[in-house]
Amino acid sequence: MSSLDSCTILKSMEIDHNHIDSFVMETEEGTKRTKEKFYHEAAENRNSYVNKQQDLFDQYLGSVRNEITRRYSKLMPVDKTSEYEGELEEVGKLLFFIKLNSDISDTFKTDLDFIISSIKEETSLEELNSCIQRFLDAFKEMGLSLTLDDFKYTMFTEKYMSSFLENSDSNHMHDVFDKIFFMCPDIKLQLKMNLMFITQKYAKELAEYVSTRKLKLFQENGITENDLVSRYTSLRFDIGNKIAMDEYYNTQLFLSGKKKIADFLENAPARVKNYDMFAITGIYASLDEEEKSSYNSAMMGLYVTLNELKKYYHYEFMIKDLVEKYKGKDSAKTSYLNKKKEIEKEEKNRQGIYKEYLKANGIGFLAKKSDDKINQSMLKMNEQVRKLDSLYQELQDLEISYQLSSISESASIYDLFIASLKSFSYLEKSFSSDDFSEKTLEENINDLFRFLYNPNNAFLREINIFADYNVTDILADKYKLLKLNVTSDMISAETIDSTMESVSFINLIQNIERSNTSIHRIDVICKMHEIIGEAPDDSVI
Amino acid sequence: MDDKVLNEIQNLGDDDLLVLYHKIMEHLDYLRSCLIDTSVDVEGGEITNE
Repeated sequence: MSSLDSCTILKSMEIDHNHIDSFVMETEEGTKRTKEKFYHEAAENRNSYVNKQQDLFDQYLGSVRNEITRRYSKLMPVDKTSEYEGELEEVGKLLFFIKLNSDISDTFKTDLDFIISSIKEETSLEELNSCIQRFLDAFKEMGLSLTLDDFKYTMFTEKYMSSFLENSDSNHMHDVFDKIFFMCPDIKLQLKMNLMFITQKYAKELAEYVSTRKLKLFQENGITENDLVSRYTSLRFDIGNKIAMDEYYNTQLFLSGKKKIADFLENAPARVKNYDMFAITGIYASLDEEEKSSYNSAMMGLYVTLNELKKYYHYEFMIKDLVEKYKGKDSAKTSYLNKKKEIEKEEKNRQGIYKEYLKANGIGFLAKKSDDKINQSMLKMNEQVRKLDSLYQELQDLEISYQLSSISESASIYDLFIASLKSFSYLEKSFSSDDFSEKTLEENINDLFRFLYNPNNAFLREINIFADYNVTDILADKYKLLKLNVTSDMISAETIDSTMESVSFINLIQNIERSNTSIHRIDVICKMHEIIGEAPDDSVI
Repeated sequence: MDDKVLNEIQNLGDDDLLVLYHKIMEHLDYLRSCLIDTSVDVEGGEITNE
């Protein structure tokens, strides 16, 4: 490596300064005209020298720029996105297997719950038909071809589906819907309940399908129930670490302007402020080497913990609600079983009304057609389905408490969350608030799964649901013991975001320093990037 | 440009290379500032063919 001081170009600059400064531009001798002429000639001589040097330094600049471009290409880390894609796909697949292996219902595992739950009062006719088609397709995939017989939940669902199964064309179904709607304004609800009823009717087949599918997928992927979660968490931990320490992604953070490299350099005020914030003495620089090492290790733990805590706050309302419901689990268990029996009875009554309708249409032994009785049975059916809908809603409300009855008093927060997965309707209700409106129900439930199976989760599994202490206080105390300045006020639900910013700042430095790059190298890349502009142009090298 | 200069550029460390780039830019600015407009005479009038 040569030194800048001995560089020929710098020496040329010095020579230029001396030479230009020593140019004699004026003379004391001669007339005014002679003096002017002298000046004019001296200026032209000096300009000629300057022009020559400008050409030379333009060449130097070009060469230095080319060298910078060459080095930029060499220093710029490789984008490994495609390398990670395979591993991320594997992580997604393993999470899907975890769902398949969990205690959630078979209708949840086969996505039938999502299809049914997407039918609402405000659902458009196109969406409704698309849901029905997805439902039919899902059953076909299970080897079950649904027929009109499956859609005789009411005379209206039968009428609608009879047309749908013949021709599901949008215009045609619009006419069918309009005709039925006058007799049955609840047709969407009745179709939804019909789909629910079908899942109960084929519960055994559904269970067999899920079990066979799970077995097949596990065999194909060499997975056992015992190692599934550990494989998932270990792979997710690995890929998470790789991405956090990825030189290309971290460099891009600065090149894109999302982060300012000047803030991250040694002694930069922003860096000093963030490091000092968590130093027990208030000044990070005052710590000795051993203390700095403990500080950095504790900060890595704090980053993971605060991420967990932030998510915990996101779902805290569920925990509070589940604890309340847990308290009333014993009475809810009886109520749930009684409600189920009541529904069974009312479903039989519904079938009775349907038979009355058939009879009034002249179908069956000794049946006689009667328009009055047809109308009566139709009115009765509408009322009966509304009654059933209320009963099912009551059952769903009780379902979560019923599921909690298997939880012991020594359960952790994690156990309570896992139990909540057994009730799809509970999750559906929990994620219906505005806080979750940016994502679909499926995405929100997926996020919950990812949160529960996060390899870095620690306190979730350790803290008892009935413990009479505050999670925030416990965590603040833990990091105080690790000699970090962390108070409950700094990590409350209201303040955690701003504290996370500082912790993330330090975490980014730590990730960069643990990887194959450094803040200094990124600084050099950024400076080179400023000079050469966007992507390096190979043609100038 | 001779090989010696090219060789020196290639052998500089990254930081020095960046410093050199900025120094050349400054020097070019300096050179530009040294150019004298010879179309104007000492007293500020246009020089004619006379």
